[in-house]
Amino acid sequence: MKKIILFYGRGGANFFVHFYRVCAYLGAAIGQLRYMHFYRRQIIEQMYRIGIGSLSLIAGLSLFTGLATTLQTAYQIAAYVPKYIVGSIVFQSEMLELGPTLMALVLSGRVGAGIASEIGTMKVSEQVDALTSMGVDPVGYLVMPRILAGVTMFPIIIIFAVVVAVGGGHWAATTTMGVSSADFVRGMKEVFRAKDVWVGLIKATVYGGIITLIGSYLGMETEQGAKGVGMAATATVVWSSSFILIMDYVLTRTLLKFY
Amino acid sequence: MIEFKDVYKSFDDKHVLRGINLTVNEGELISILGPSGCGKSVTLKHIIGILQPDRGEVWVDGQFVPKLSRNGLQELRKRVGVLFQSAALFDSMSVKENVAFMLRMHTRMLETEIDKRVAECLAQVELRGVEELNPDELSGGMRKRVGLARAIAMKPNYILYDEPTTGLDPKTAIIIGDLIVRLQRQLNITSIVVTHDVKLATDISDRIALFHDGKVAAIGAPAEISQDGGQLIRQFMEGQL
Repeated sequence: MKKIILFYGRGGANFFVHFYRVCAYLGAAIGQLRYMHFYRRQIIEQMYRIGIGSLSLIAGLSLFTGLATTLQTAYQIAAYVPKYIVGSIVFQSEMLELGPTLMALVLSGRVGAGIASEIGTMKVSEQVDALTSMGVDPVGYLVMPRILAGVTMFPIIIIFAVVVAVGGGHWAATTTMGVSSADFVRGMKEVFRAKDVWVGLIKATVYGGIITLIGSYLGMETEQGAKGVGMAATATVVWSSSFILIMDYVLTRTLLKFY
Repeated sequence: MIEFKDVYKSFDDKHVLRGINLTVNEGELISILGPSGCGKSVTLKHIIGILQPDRGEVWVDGQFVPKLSRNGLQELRKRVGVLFQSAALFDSMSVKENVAFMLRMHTRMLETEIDKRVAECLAQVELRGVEELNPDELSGGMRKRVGLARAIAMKPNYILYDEPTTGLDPKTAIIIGDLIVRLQRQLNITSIVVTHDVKLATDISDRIALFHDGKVAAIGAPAEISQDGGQLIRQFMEGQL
């Protein structure tokens, strides 16, 4: 019993230590925002890598998500409700849930693990120490541009993902299920509320922050050479995915209720 | 001038520095000699404030390093060039971008002036025509020389060398040693070389500080140290330290 209490107690204490340090990194990165002009090249480079660099992957995955969602919806409601409802359900589920959350889970691998392994490699090969020794703050040079790029580019990526997914859903509905284009669009229009777009964008912003912050933190804390870099990348995907799903519940509950 | 006064540093329960007292005079080339894990690199990191002492004082040019502000540290770091053990070149940048890094971050020099300064620095370390290469296209010796060119780009007052010959073949190690001495004379700077290479330390140094058990066990000119610290050096070379 004592061993079990110790095990969970130590795990809980570790969690709070990491949580505190992640918050400290976030605070330091926010503090570095005043030097944005100094790090503008890094910010633009990260926006390009995280934003533009993710578009082809997101386009392919969103297309198939839209196709599958449409087929699944049509199958579930076929006997009970009019077909134009397919457009309503596909649009709302893509905008509120599948677009931001599913794509964020995918990006936790592409973006988060990429950040952790890149910064982790720099850490174990003394490049982070080299930055410090040259009078450049590693948080300003490495962490802040990535977090800023994450929170600004993720909403754009998610809007792109939703457009592609709904386009794919429209194609599937009109070509394979006998739903007319007018009916699909009518279904979308009936449920469209600006609030839903805002909820999707707020989720995307938060997820962008979570993924880039966790990737940067675990990268900066990397030790033990190549093994440590691998562990940081893996931990980034696990931590980011977990926090995305937890925040999905928190944000859905909060935003749909109060916003 | 750099001064360590009774400096202690521990990592968890590992006591690395146990009361270091060391003065580095202006314009001298001093080598810190000792076995792996004796706190040589840790000592260097205290000079530029990457590490803070648990106890004791570190002074650079009359400035108390542990109490320097962010801007104070940044100014100090501009005056100190560091050559890391692995050279620590930024692998996402070309040689030219590596050498130009501090110039771009800390000065308002025009690109043409930066290009000229980069070429000068590379010439001083006897490298030419490598500006557009990436670090992974360089040999170990070339990487060290590019690291050295980067360290001198801001015309520092001090250069800290962390194991400059580790991983190099004997011939390249001699070339790097000669380069350290030549730069010392040409640039009129103060240099601290951390090494476990007794031959390098003896060949290039004005003074040698022998570290043992987290303290300075012996210090003096190479000829003196072979007498005062002779027993310790013999033990060190035989792997008994």
